[in-house]
Amino acid sequence: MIIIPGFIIALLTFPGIIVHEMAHQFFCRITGTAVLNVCYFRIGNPAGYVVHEAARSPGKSLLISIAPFFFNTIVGALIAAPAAMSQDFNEADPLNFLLLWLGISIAMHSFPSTGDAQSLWGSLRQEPWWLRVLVAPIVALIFVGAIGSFIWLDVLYGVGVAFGVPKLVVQLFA
Amino acid sequence: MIRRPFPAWIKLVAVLVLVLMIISAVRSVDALDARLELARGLSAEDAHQYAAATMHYEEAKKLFPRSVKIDLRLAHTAFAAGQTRRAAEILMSLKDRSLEQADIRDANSLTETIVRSAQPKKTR
Repeated sequence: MIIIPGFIIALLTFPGIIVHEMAHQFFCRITGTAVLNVCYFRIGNPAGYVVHEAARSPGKSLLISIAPFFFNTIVGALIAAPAAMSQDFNEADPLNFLLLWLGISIAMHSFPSTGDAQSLWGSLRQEPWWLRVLVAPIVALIFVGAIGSFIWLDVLYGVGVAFGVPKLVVQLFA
Repeated sequence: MIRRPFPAWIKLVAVLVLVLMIISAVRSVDALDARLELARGLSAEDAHQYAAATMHYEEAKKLFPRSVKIDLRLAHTAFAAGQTRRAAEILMSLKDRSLEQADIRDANSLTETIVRSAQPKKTR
């Protein structure tokens, strides 16, 4: 297993971190949640963060926490699609490499962080037990995703989204 | 409520991402069309419908004229349809192009098959 320090991965894939934090901030704005501080990218742990007030409902809190998962996945897949689809055609186009790098970088930072999970879980403290039971699997999944990054799960996800989604689309329409 | 504004550089990044998504969408149209034609061609080839397969590959070639993969499929289809000379011509056209290892193996294998088929068979 190759272990690469997190800050090097963060540096190599910084667009994904910026888009991840943008997604949090954007959904804070949509849900009317005040943002107190934002760091879009830095060399450190975490590489980016959004500090916001407690969301007014568990639904809004969930939306803010998991927004990057959908936002980064969709943006990453869309950006990487033409490069992934034309790579079989031997077109060594520098723009294709740029789009692939951007697409994979953005998609691999889709997973919400453990901080997002803690924030989501914390927002449920006053909520009824059944809601916490309902949200617990999501929080657990977020933690699994975060732990999975040690075994390159985030990179696998990014590559999977970049190459897998176009493949699925072709299979669907061919 | 604190409505923290998006900094100017983040707005710029957002615009850049949007522009890249538009560029990607435009490029995706051709890439998707070519991939669909290639996939349909492969299906037709599997069903031994070589005329249909050739038609699909030609459509894909219009979008990616320098694609070795498409040319190789055209060569295979031409040979399978009995157009040995056409298959050989396509293979010859690949001579000066940069090929990946898998494509070189494929081209060599097809060339050997063509050469073998052109040799007179001994009958008793």
